[in-house]
Amino acid sequence: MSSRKLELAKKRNPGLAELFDRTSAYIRAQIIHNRQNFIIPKLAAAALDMNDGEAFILLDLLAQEDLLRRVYNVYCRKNGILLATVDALEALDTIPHCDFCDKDHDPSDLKVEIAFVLKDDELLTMAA
Amino acid sequence: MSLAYSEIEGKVLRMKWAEQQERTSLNETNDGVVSIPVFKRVVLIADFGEKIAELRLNPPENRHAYTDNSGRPTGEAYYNAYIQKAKDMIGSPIVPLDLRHVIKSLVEEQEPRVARIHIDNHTDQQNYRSKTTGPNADVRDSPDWSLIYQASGNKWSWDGQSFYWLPKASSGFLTREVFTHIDADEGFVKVNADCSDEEVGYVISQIRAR
Repeated sequence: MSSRKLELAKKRNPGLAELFDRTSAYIRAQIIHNRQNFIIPKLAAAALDMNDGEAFILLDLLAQEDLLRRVYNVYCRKNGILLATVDALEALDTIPHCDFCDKDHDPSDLKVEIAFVLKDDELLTMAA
Repeated sequence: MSLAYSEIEGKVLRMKWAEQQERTSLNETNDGVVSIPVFKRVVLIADFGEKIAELRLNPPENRHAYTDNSGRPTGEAYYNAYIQKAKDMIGSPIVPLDLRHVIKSLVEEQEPRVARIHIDNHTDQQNYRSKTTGPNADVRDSPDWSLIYQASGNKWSWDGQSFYWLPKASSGFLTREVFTHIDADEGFVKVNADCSDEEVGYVISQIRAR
């Protein structure tokens, strides 16, 4: 069984079809085998042998095709602890207390990383 | 920021700014605040022929004029102010160099090595970040590090690496080991303040070559 949305994305972007296949295979491997909830562009770039910008564009295109959803992982800049995952940067004002530093960080003490999560299970159910 | 000079030579624009910041600390003997003025220099070199620009900055002190939204002076605000200034002067969008790729190719290099890797900082595909610090050698010579690198290093994301460029592989450019930290996450390269222009030029040429 193939993903209808992925096939549509490939039809709309025929030049990217092979890259979409590689990226979706990577996403499945990360979620099923590596048990990762987030698809992070820099890790996708390393695994797919491309640069961060290329990986981000591919993931963002899959988000535009309704297969992924863009989120923001918010870390304590000093200790690299994941504090929250938010849907919009406006939510940076509501970041929870950092237990590791035992303080409420100012926005400049936070590091924001763009990540992607599955919109639904469509990419997971398709044949590899 | 005050402009010290600006010159165009051929297709190369060179601009320099200077400013005074303050380094403040607590005097532990009388609880007073000690404030020392520190001069900062910032140089922009834009080669319109090669389509490459460099922005060289001293690191910020804890008191300066660049603040975040809450009014606090931050390093990020200082760097961003000069990056924006550089963009304004160049008059075109700027695309940062892919520093992860630079680190990857430096790590992959076999003998003769151009640099000794002092600190390795990477993230694996399970999103675990690992940092390895070598005593006075090269982390690639650590059997444990090497074993893990052979198994899965081709899928690591390189976050930050500290190098010492080696004189023996520099064709006579270097007379001493030159420290460089490449921070691919934040997108900058750091060298020590006592580096000569020639040493900085060597480091930048090595980074661009990869």
